[in-house]
Amino acid sequence: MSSLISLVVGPQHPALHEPERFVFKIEGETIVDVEPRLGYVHRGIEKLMETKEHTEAIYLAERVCGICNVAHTLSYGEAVEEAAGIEVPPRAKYLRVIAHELNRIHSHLLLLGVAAELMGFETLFMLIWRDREIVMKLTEDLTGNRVISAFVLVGGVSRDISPELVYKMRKHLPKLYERVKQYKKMMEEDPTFTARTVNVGYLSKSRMLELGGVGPTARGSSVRMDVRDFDPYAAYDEIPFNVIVYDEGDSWARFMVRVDETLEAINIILYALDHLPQGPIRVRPPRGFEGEGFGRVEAPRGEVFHHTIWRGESKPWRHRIRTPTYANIPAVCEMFKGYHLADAPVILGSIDPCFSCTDRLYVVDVRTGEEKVIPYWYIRKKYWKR
Amino acid sequence: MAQKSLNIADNKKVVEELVSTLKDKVLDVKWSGPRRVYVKIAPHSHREFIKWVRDKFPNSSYLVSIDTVDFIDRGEFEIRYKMQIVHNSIKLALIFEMNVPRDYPKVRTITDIVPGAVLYERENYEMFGIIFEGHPNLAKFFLPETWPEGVYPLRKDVNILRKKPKVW
Repeated sequence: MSSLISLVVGPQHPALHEPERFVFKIEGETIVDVEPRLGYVHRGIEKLMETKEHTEAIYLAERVCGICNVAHTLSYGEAVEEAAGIEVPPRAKYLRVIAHELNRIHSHLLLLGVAAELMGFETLFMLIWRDREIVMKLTEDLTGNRVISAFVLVGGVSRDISPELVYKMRKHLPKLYERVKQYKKMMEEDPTFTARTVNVGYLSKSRMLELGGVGPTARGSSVRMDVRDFDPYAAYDEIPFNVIVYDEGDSWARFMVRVDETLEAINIILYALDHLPQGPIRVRPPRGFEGEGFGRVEAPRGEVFHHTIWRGESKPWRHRIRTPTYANIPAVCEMFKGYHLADAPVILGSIDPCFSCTDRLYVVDVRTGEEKVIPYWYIRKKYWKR
Repeated sequence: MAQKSLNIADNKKVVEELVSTLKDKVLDVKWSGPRRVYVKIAPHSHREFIKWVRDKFPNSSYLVSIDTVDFIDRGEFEIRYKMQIVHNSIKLALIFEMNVPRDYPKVRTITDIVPGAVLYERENYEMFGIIFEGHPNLAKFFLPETWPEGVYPLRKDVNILRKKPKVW
């Protein structure tokens, strides 16, 4: 008789952001089904946005996600600018691209480091995070902050780039390029990395499109979709770059998409520095206006969009935010099925969310269908008697 | 550049074809830029439109999101289904807008056409109270289990952001 055990994973985890809870239905070691539950950090930002003017709300927008904060402010800015009919100066567009791509490099390197750690490859984790520091320092020089940057504002950007910083970026980014190329070679050849990721968490292209996966998760399954390509914002319609697509559809492909995108992002920054136009960096936005705006941005994890509706007041009527991890949850639930429980951290890590620890056991008796939740204190009391 | 080739005529052709196929269900077409189009559709016809897009572009379209706007002054919700098509030179975001009466918010699910809609429908159910008929598991997703029944936080008549008086 088969016994199906439900294993609750989450919601607390110290390593990455966004606590989630997954109830894995396992048979032996194999995952049969998975039920997600989100909302542990639901802060009601969409409702709160309806009470804020855009000068305040842009700072709220970047607190949706700390790691891809530039993507959120950029998306918010694009949406409000479309609604208000503001044209951003060309220099601000290029500066937005630079900040956005620095943000992408830092996010991808963060994930690749964490992924290496999840696989028990701690040396790679420390090497990658050491090199991530270059990008963090450049971000600090450009925006004034290491993480939450407050760089993009409605109508432009907050700070201009200095010639010294341009020189510094041109000096350090090619060095980082060489390092990342070395890590790419490592990830292609290293037996530890390939053994844990190749053919793990496979999802086909048609299934990915049905489930609506976005970003590097989708591009790892040969879905050629990148917002920068099909709906260019900021200065992406003038900057040449390649859309990275891998056909394998497994966790390895999803990690490799991120490595290649890091290389591509460095090229984009160097191109933008070479072609940086002169001029003002900000125009003054109006306070209240009528209109509708739809700002789509390719964040490090996939497509972010802010959709805003203004009806002539100083505050929006409705503000809708869709984040990439949310769109990827149905896809990742499908990826788990049929793989071992030990692969779950790698599969979950490959879509770049967070992985959470076990909080309590959740036992389902299949014969009677009776469910019983055993809290952690009960186990401790019963089995860990001093 | 090849990758950024956009043919506006191709985008227009897709929308024209859609309008001619389902012409009695299309109420209004509004372009916002060459890559985005808002299509106002008749009540309860959303399944046909999404099915048309998915059948015509099975390997190059996906559902971006489902969201709702509460127009309390008109007494109705507006549900928006956002689809994206990227097929050779066609690069088009389709936004289907559909009105639902505020006092009877019930529409049919699209999870049988697009399985990825499962979470979006759950979110719209718990935030706006829109009931999606035929959804496999219309339960709470973001809100806590202790949340009161019948309170849908993103509706305009729910005021959860009332300032509390200071106690000190």
